[in-house]
Amino acid sequence: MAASAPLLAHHSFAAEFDDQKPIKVSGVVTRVEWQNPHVWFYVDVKDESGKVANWGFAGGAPGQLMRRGISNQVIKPGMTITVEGFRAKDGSNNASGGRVTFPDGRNVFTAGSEDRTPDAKK
Amino acid sequence: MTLLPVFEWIQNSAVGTSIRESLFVFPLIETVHVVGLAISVGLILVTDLRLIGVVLTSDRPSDIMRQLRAWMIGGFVLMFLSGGLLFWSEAAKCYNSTAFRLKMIFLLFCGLNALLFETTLGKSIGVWDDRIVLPQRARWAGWLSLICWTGVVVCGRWTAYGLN
Amino acid sequence: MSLLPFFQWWDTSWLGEAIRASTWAFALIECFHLIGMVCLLGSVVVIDLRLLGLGMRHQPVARVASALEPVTLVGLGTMVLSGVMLFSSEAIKCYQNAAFPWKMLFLLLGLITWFTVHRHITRLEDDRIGPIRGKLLGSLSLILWFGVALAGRAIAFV
Repeated sequence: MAASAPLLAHHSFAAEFDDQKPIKVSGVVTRVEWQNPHVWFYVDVKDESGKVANWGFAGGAPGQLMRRGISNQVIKPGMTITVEGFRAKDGSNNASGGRVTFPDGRNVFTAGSEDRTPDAKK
Repeated sequence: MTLLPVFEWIQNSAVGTSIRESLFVFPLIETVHVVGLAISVGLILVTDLRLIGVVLTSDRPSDIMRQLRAWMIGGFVLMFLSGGLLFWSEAAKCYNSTAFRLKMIFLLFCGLNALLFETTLGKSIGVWDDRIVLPQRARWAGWLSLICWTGVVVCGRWTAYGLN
Repeated sequence: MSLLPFFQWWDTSWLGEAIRASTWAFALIECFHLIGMVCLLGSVVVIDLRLLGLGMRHQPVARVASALEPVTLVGLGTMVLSGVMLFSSEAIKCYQNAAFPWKMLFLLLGLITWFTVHRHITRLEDDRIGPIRGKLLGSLSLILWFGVALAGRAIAFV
C-alpha cells in the first residue's frame, strides 16, 4: 500500500517532522516525484516481522538539489537505498529524507533548506 | 460529477509538468507571487485605509484611487499571471485543497465587493468623497475589502502548507 | 568571533522549543509576518512612487509620508516581532543558510535609512527635496525593502 503525502503538511520542517524521532531505513525505491516544492521518493521498507510498508520521504526542491550536484537521475525506482531523516509528526509512514546512501557507500544530502539531517543538530 | 480529471489534465500537461519539475522557474514564479503582494494588495490596503478613514483623510478617495489605479492593475496582472502558472503546475493538488478553495472564495468576494463598489457608490463618488468621514457604505466597503484580502493572503499561505 | 553561540542560544530557547513543538504556531506566526509585509511594502511603495514622481503627484511628499508612516511602523513592528519568533524556531537553519545574512544586511540598511535619511527628507517641502534627491531616496528605499523580501524568499531556495 503506497503512502501518500501528508494531508496537513506544513512548510516548516519543525512543524511537520519531529526532530526527536530520527529514522534510518533501507529498502527499494518504488516511486520518485522530482518536483517543486519538495521532491518525494517512496521506499518499500521491511520491518522486523518481514512485513513491507511503503514510506514516503520529502527532500528539498529540484533547484536546491541540483545546486548540490543531485540531479533527477540520482534516485530511481528499483534502486536499494538507505534513507536517514525524521519521522512525520502525524505518525504516518512519512519522514523527511535528509540523507540517502547507496549500496556502494556514496551518499547525498537531499534535505531541503529547513531540514535537519540526523547529525546536523548542534 | 467531479472536476478532478480536468484539474489532473491541467497539472499533467507539458507546461504544468515543466514548471513543477523546474530548477529555478517555480521558485521565480513563487517569488513574483509573494513579492507582488506589495504592489497589489499593498496598494489596496492604502485605499481601503482611506475608505475606513485611517489615512490621508484630507484627500479624496477617488483621487487616491485614480492615481494608484495603473500600478494596482499592474500588480494584479502579476499576481494573476504568477498565480495562474503556479495553479497550472499543481491544479489537482489545488482542487483537493480546502485552503485553496477557501482562498478562491475569498478572492471571489474581493472581486464582488469591488464590482459592487464600482457600480454603486463608485458612480457617485465625486459627490460624497470630499469629506473626511465617508458615508457608512463606503466604510463598509473598505472593511470588507480588508477582511477579504486578509482571507486571501492567509489562505494562500495555508495552501502552500497543504500542497507539500 | 563566531556568531554560532548567538544562534544556538535562540535555537535552544524556550520560545524556539515551544514553536517547534507546536503543529500550528509556525504557520500562524508566518501569517502575521506576511500581513506585516503587505503593510510595510504597501506603504513604502506608495511613498516611494511619490518620491520617484510616478504616483500620488497631487499630494506633497510630506503629506503622503506622514499619513503612511504609521502603517509602515505597524508593518515593521509586526514583522520584527513575528520574525524573531520564526527565527528562534529555526535559528541554526538560518545560521547555515546562504540567503539569511543578506536578508539581515538589507534589513539593517533599510532600518538605518528609514530612521535617518528617509524621515528627514520626507518631512521637507517638495521644492526643498528636489527631483534628484527624491528619486535617489525612492529608488534606495525600494531596493533595500524589496531586497529584504527577496532575500527572505530565497532562504527557502538556497
